Amino acid sequence: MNCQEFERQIILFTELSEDEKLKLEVHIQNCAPCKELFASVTYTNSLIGRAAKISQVLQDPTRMTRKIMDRIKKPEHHWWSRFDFSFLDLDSQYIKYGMATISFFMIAFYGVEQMKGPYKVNGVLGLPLQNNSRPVIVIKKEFLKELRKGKAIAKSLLKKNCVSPFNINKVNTACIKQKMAYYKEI
Amino acid sequence: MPATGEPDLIELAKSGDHHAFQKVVEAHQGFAYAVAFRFLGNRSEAEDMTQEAFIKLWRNMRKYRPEVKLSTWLYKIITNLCLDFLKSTHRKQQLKQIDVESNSSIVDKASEESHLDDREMLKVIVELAKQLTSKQQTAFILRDLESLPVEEVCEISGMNTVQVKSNLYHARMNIREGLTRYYRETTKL
Repeated sequence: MNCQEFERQIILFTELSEDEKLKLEVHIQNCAPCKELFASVTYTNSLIGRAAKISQVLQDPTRMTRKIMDRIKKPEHHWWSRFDFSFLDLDSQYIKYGMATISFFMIAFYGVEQMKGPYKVNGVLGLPLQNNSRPVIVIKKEFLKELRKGKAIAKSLLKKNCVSPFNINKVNTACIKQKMAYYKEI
Repeated sequence: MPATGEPDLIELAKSGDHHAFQKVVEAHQGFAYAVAFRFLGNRSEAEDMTQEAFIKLWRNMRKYRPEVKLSTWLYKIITNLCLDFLKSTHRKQQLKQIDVESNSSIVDKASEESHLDDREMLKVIVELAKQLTSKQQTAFILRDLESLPVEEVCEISGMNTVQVKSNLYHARMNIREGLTRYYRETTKL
């Protein structure tokens, strides 16, 4: 063992086994730098040890107890407090890592969906909007067929194709305008 | 540390007995506060953390297993609460200021008295410990200031023996370095 390894042992002296302590003591007797380091570390440890003996005393323990008990006794008004979720060990590492993994995959899925370019499907015309990269999907054949039947159906089809992916009750008006303008050109 | 009838009190507290839990609080709040103070070095923050720790203890009382000492469990709760508190960005910014301010204020006092008393030394050590990483700080406070055995430090911190020793080594080196630097500055004045 060299001095560098003994240096680590000096710092961790209190964690050494009796055998390791003996070996270290033998080395210290024959090595001046290690002996000096040992004396210095022992002094530092004594300072820390003296400081550790000082215990901070709570100024008003009665007030502290009362504060804690008041908070505990205070009824909780949340609706979920009526249910017992104690079977869900939310502090568990499995739950934490599980939730983190699910979140990661959801974010990754969202990112991938956002990065997708115009769809390339036979019979479907992918037309990107002018101001952003989100594709506008128009089923040309179906649209033209519907357009021949009547304007209302064509409009509903336009809406159908422009439904928000996050809320089916909302449509992207920019998408509809874009498609209308496109089909006026045809 | 209280002992008489504690298992019974814990059992009663587990079943929702407020009076029994109050006895548990009365018996452990002093020690909980002292541990929190060693992490935070601030009286009011340590009091807040002690309160939070007992609220958390109450809410999780049903999960308590008798094979684990209540003090170990409480150590774990306090350690996590204090570390989370110290991790907050606001707190980190404050620490940078405290580093400069606290050192200078303590240096002034020290130069007057020519040596530090143990209480001042504890303040310096606590401030130096705050600059360590969370794991190093946990290992150092629990092992060197609380004098807990390595096995209990492992149980509280969730680290294995090798990790505790490694963090302890780096923590002690950093504290030693900080104390040396601190003494060099005080002797300059």
